[in-house]
Amino acid sequence: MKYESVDLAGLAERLIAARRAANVTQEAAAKHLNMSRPTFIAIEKAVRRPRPEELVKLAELYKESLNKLLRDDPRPPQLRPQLRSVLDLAPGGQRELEEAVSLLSAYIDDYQYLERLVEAKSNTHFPPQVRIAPGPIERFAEHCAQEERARLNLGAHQPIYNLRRVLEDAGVHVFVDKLDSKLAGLYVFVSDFGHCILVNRVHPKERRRWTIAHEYGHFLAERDRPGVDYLRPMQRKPESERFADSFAAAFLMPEAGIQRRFYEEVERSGDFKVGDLCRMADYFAVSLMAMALRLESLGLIPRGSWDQICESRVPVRDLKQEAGIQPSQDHDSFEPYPQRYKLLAVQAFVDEKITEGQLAKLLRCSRLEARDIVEQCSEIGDDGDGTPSRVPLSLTHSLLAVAAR
Amino acid sequence: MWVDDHIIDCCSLLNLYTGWGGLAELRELRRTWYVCEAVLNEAEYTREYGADGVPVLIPLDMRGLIQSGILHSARPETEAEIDDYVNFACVPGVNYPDRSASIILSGAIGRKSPVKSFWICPVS
Repeated sequence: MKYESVDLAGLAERLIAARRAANVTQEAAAKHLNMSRPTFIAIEKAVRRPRPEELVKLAELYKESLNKLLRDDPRPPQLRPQLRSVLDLAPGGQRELEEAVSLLSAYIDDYQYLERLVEAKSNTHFPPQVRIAPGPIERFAEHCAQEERARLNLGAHQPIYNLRRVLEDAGVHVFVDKLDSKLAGLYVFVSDFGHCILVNRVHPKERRRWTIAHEYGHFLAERDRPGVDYLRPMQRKPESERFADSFAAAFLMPEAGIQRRFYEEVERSGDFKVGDLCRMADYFAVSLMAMALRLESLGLIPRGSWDQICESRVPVRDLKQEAGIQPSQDHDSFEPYPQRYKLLAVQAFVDEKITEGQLAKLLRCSRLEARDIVEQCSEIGDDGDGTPSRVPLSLTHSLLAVAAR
Repeated sequence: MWVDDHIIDCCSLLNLYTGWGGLAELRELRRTWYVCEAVLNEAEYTREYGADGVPVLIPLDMRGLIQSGILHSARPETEAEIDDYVNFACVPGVNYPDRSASIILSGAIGRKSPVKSFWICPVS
């Protein structure tokens, strides 16, 4: 394909997205190209095709690869218009939010690009949308969480350790990246692709898991409304936030499972102490506060128990240490992109559809790390003489076609 | 006249560097060796194994290699080269060139010079 054939509207949208991600004003970009602002605006409005040298200069200014700006695919998802209402209402930290929106847009763009390259399609059999019923919203959220756990075959008692993979199968794409510490996460639904969530990497794993479950609650209840969640939300939470909070609590800490474990402990020792609370929070991979408030809401411990723990001013870290809990790694909610994204990137590389440099960019790592990932994604095979060899995975290889021959 | 001699892409450069433990051998070959500008930023470090078998990341000082004269940097300069560079960046599908490959190819075409580059696939 020649540059002249590249869709001008798509190119203009990519240029706008790249400029915003780089925090460059239209005026500065116009000056960089030594042209007037109206002429530059004509480029972003897809009225004027930038000359090759102008495009190269813009790619350098935006620190974006030329290949990405010239991707031959449908227009990139423009999340900003969808998130405009949220951006406009941002109480400050507009820049941080803009950066987060750019990050999520880039992940979605890359994921969809990989799907097209490898000819793999996302699961679009999304869970049915729920309509919030009149009455106590917490009870309704509890009901929805139970239904979802049953639908996803998660049972009624067990913790969900591989939360992200479970939700990926339900059409939820979770990305994890470094955001401003005030931001917990943001979410947007992209039709024919899925619900996309960006979670703050700097938060502890329990908080990340909570954010993922919370945003899943939003997906179920208000699919078409994108949004942002802050670490310390507003005092008076709207109904949708209360639903998402209650849903997250019930989804991660199922009532039946919590009760069973609580009474097992009470039966064993005749009591339920702070140490037991710590171990239970660890078992369900939630924060101590989330578990304490959950037990309070289920009436298993008295209201105000969490406040009492806070008043003691003993750091949670010390409480956990005393309860014998070792800090654990959580790769599931720490990887920047879903496992499927990684496999698609490796597959595209193995199929020679992308170069090593592009692979490294898509995987957000150095070339050496990208080589390691390719190696990890290969299976150890056996040549027949006992010599192990690496067999690159081929996701698009049809097993049924082989059987039919 | 930068494509009169040899151009190394990033992938090959890393392989040669790790294979030889440096690039000083390039000087012995008595040719002029070029890398495109994009490679300067992409080849960040290489990896070696310490005495205890633990891999250690060694920063790859590309600027130093340029300053020492072992490598020379290149970028598309003429209008024709820039046009070709942009056109190569549009090529979709198999062997879709990345930035450094696009620059190399555009330079070779623009100056009507043969390219003798190392296209060595990564070995694991």
